[in-house]
Amino acid sequence: MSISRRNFVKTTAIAMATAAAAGSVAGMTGCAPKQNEPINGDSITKTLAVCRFCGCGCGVIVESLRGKVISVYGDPENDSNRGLNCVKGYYLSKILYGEDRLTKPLIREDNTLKGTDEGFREATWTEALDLVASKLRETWKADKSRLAYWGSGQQPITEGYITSKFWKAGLLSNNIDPNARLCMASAVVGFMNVFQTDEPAGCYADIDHADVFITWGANMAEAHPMLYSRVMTRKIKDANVKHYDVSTLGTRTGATADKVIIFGNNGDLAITNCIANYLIKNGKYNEGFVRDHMQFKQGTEDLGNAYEDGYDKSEIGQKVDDVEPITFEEYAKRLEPYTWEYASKISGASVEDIKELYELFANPDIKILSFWTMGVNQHNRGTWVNHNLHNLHLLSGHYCKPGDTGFSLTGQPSACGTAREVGTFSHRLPADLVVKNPQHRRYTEAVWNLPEGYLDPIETPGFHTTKIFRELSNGNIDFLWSANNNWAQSMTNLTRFLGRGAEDKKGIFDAFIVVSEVYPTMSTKYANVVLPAAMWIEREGQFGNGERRTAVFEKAVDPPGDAMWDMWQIFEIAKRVLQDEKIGGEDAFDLLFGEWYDKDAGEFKHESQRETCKSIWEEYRTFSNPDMNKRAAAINSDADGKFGAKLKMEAKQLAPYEEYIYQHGMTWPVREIDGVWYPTKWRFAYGDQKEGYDQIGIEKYGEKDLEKQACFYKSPDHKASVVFRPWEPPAELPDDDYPFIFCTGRFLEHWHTGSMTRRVPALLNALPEALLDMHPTDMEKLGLKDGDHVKVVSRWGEVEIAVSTAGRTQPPEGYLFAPFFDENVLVNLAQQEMYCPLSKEPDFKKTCVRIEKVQAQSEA
Amino acid sequence: MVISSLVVETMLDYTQQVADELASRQGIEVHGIDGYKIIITIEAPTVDESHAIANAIVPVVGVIGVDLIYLNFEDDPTIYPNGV
Repeated sequence: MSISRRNFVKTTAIAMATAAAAGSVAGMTGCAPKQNEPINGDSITKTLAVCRFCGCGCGVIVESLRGKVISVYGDPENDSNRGLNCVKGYYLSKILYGEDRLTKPLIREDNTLKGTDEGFREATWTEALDLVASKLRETWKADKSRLAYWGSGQQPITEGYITSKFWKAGLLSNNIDPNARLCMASAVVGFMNVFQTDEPAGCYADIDHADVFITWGANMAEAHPMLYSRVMTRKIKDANVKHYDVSTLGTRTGATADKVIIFGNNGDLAITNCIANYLIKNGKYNEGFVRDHMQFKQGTEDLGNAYEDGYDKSEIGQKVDDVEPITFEEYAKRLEPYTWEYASKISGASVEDIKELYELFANPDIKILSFWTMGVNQHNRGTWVNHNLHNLHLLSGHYCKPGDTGFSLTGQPSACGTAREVGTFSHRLPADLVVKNPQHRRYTEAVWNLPEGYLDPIETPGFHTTKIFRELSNGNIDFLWSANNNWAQSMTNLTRFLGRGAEDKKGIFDAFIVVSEVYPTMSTKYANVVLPAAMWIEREGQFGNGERRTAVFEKAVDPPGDAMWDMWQIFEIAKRVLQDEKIGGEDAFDLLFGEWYDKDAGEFKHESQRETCKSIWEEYRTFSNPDMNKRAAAINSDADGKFGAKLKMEAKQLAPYEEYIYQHGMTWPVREIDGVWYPTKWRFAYGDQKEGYDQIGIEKYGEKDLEKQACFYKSPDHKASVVFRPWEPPAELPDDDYPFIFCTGRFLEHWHTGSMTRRVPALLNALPEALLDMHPTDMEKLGLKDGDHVKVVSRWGEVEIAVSTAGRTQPPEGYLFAPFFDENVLVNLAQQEMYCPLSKEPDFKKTCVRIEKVQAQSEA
Repeated sequence: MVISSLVVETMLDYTQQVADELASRQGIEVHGIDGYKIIITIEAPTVDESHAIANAIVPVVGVIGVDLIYLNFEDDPTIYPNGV
């Protein structure tokens, strides 16, 4: 780097940091590098992007020169992070350039070596695509219940949309589910049940307005570092702002909280019901809010647990979603058993601590922002805890004002945008629509230009994630395609799902498995074909983050070797599988995808990825802009009265594609006023749309003069549902044979399974291996010292791991924690496979285990 | 050299103490203080070394957040051994 270039770079770096410290977005924008500043005659290209690591969804700007990325900086104009990134930002680009990037299609030649990196040969794309398509078509024609696709919350929106369209309309299969099922399905079902629409009402800017933060089962300091930094900034600006951490163990988040409340035994259900009980008993609930905005219900109880593969179809399994209306008085009666003492006894939290939480919700003069994530969602009653947290905020009226809301954090960069909004789930269609609802299927047929009734064969939901892997292990899946995920490390009960257990559970070795990936992972070890994919800014894409913000990342550089855009892979496989198939007399592929891909020429019809994405987006956004399609508009408004209800699809309204680039992302619903598109930051809260309130949504579908100027207009009678959900115990309880509770989770350095971050030496050195965190008293009782190797043994399997009292978490006695990033320590070998019966999200937090010391060879 | 700039957020009573500590560390230059925030640059031969320096700020007493603002790595020989 020349001296003048170095001076320029350093001056820019200082100026941007100075502006960021001052909180000046305009200042940062003003001093950011300008586009096309040439170096030795070559122009620097500046492109828009979104961080691809966690669920925060921070905006970044990428600079590239001669086809290589040379710098990255926080995007000051992206309102999610306002120019700030966490230290993982150092590796956003370096991860593109790992030495073992997959650059050639691989075909497994030796199936006896499945489960290892061996037994593959390089192949041409034609050879690999022909093989994949022939296997998929063969399975599809023989028995389409035996095929499955496992997607991801890391898949960009348009790619997820095309995948879903291929699977649901092309193959008429619902056996498609994303890894988002593992992290946020309980939140989804909670939102849908309470508000009849998914995703949080508030936004990240709520942090700047809150007086009290409560983290429920959320280690934000590690898992959502940028948001936690914003929480800390809020606390520093106002010494009266407090943070309560309600958790099952000590974490970095708890270390900086004003108060940590430790509980166990599914005690979150009891604590929340107890607070609700006394809010009503003491007349401290918000009467106006209850009157104007709430309806009360109770649902099926005594759900048991999904021990058996057939649980969903069992008598109780089929009733788990049932609810019935009750009165406010009946709801209050149901809460009465939840006294301070009972909640304390169940949860282990002290009466005083529960009362302190109660006092917060009983105070109408403060703004409370509850955050929750995996501790709540990965729970055998995850949906119920989501309900109860909403219940607290609704009863107390702590909802629908900036800083006063319940906020479910997300786990991946596009778990909201792709998995939830596109609907890449086994029970969903795009934009909150579900397969079992005939009006929803008619609407989808209209947007996809399908004959009426064409989607009726998919009215029954397909296999959810755990079901896919259960049936795979049972030998009932012949074809599995996975992309943007690493199931062979992240799934529960890997002893079963990797075929390492019972002899009759080894279907993984017989099934034909396709993995689209960027690096070798645990999952590629089990692949029959590996398809090398372009990653992050090697193609154009879009993410939708946890605050409903849709943002575009532009293509900045080319993928290495023969790695290809996933969109191309999907179209090339779809055209082969759908060859000579007809829909309503038309060629199936052309009807579904002909707008974008010329199957005969084998190329995209648009000149650039930008134009392809834009054109796909225009179809996708028709789902939330029914006026773009006459047939859809009639179904949305229920013009002929056939369905008895309007769909209100505009409640998720999306803008034209370019607006997301021009505005550096926007939170839906977006509204057009005098030709300008405005985001909605605070859903259900009436106010000026131009200031981020839900003015147009409420004026179109709701009422604006209700308590706190709120209106939950998506539900037919504008009322949110407060559903009584009782305490029920964990799926397993400690006993003499398995006396410890084992919890898994994530740390800052390694996002999820570490398939990228473990390739970065600095990150690997910072956290080289997974350790089992244990309380010192338990260590002493077992005669263990730091670094000893132990076996964690459950009813499901076992894993060997080094034990530590100096790890990143501080578990209470009888409790153990280990992260799941380490491929060499597959902690999920010992995990149970139970899931929340409503959301089907597995419980990764409460497997009962025992600890066996592993004798060193010298001791033996 | 790989050049990056960061904002280090501190507890109110620790800002100057943290700034002094950071200024003493190799590769870090302190450019100013804005309230409880410290503006720094890190210069190191590689992204890995830059990250190591930044990551070592996290446990410094009084630090509550480390925000990366700008990163230029066109000179990192581990990424571009033959230059860009």
